[in-house]
Amino acid sequence: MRLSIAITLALVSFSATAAQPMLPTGAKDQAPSRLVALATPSANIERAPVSFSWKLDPTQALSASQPYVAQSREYWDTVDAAALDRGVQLKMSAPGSLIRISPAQGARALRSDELQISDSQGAAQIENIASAKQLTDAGMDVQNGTVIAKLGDQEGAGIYTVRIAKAQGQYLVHVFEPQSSDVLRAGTDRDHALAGSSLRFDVDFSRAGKLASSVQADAMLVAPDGRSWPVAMGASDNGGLAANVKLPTNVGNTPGLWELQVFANADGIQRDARTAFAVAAPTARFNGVFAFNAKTMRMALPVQTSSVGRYEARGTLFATSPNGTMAPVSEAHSAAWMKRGNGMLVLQFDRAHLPQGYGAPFEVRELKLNDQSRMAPLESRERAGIAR
Amino acid sequence: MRKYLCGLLLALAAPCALANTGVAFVHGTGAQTNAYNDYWQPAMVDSVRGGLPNPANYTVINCDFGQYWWDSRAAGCLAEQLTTFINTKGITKLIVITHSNGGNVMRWIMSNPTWDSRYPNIISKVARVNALAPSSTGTPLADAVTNGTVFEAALGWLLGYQNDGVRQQQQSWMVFYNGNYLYGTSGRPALPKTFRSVVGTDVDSSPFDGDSYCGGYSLNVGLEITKNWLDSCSDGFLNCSSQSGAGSVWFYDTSRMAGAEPLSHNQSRRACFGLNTILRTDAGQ
Repeated sequence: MRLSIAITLALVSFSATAAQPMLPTGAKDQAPSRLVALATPSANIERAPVSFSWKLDPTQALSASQPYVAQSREYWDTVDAAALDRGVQLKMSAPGSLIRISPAQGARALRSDELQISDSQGAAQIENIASAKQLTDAGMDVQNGTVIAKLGDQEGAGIYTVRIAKAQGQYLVHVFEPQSSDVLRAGTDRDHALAGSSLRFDVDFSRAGKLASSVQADAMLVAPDGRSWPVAMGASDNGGLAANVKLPTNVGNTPGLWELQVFANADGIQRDARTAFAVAAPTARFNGVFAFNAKTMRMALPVQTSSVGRYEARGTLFATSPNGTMAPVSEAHSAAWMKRGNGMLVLQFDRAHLPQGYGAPFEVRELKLNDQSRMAPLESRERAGIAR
Repeated sequence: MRKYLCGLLLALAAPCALANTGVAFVHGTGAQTNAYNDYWQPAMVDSVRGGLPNPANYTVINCDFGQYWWDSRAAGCLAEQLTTFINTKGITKLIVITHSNGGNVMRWIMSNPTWDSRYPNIISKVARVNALAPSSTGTPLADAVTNGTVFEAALGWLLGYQNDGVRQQQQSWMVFYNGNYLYGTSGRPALPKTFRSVVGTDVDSSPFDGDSYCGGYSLNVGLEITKNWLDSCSDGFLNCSSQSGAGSVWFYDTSRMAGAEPLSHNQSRRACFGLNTILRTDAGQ
């Protein structure tokens, strides 16, 4: 690791101890191997340097967060007015299903009394029906002109026909089966990744607790700006489906998370699932060394930036307890506006945060570098370094 | 007891005797321009602020929480209005009362103190956040109405239909933000100040039950449908697990409400079943 003379001198003068390398990255850590130059963000972003720290309760154990695994008992489809007029057939797998129909832009708004649902015996029993007004008042932010019906619990698995006469335009049909044991699961191996790196997706469809063997699935990688890429899924070792996907190098500048969207069908039962993760353009990284002054409780972190922006370091200080174990005692953040080149962020922990009897050796864990100006998690290290 | 302690400390010139307490009401998802009348309603706000030593020390926030939390129209707007309130009234002890997604916006400020140079001063003044039905781990209803699949995007209107405030309350999005940008959930560092929730556990919507009418009967009819997406313990919009997902639980509705009534998601921002009285008493402490 090369360090500029200026940064090295700054570290030496800063610390009572010499600069030392960070611990090697672990399997779950993220560290950019390359940097990219992006345009300076145009949004109104804080320019003043800000530091903050607060005390943690050492008895409250911390644990690494786990990526989300979506579990879906629902799906969405689009139909046109002619299909609704003829009647749209929906295959249900369980009693008590909910059917929502929402008008697309320009389509005619629907009234609750227009919705007809039938099974093989005739009109299906509807337990409850609600209008868009009633749903939005309840906090469910559906499109104006939407109707939702809940089938009665005696209306079990089977084919149902949904009909609306004289609809105009296109409509979204959303089916949710809360009591179904047919579940599509989709997950990723990490909840954030760098542009150009790879991410693993795992998908499975279980029916009554057993993995379905006849699953047809399409998957898409979707960026916050709406761009999408098909994802080819293959058989996984555990009987489901999996894919290792190389992420695009151009992440765009639309805020929000990326999604894996999966559309599956097993024996005529449809399910859609989505799961979210962040993809960051590598605009900066830690230089791989740090200096910790145990007297002042300051941790200096040289940062290399390739794009102008506001960067933030945050970390959790662990101290040695009287019984010799390490426990979290303080959380510190530091952010500053930086130009391209080499800079420094300093985490100022507070000695007053140390409980009585706690002291060196210290360790900084969950060290992260974020690009605040682009809302991007750049670098994360579960264990950053030990200081005495 | 606290009063006597403060009286004792007053003799020792302790800072608690000098506290100038204020209350801020922070609304949930959506844009508000008159949250006093439209979101909270006067019966709630006026009752709660009546518990303050100086009932004029209150502010009702009006921001656009249809944006991402970090947006200048969301947390930036909240920071501006809280800073103005603190400075204008000389507030030294701030009690923040949030509802629903307002808890997440407040948690954004407390979890990201370096994002904005106004945040540290706000955090330093916060005594506690009383989070009424906070959507701390999101809601399946946000997933249900965010029709962002590419198939539906072909229709043109769907991808951009949902506002960002709803979009980020999808459960998978909340897992990411809770794990990377927000504090206070299980296994994560605690927030710098107390964040305690009031959890609504059920919905009464029978037309034969007078309790359904508090907060508006027509609102609760919709909650009867929405709760199909939710666990058996929910307030009609949020699972109890989401409401109790960050910080600590102050109390569950049925343990403190008059008649052991539950608080639906709409009722937890209204003067229903004595909720306002509990908050009023808290404002004086």
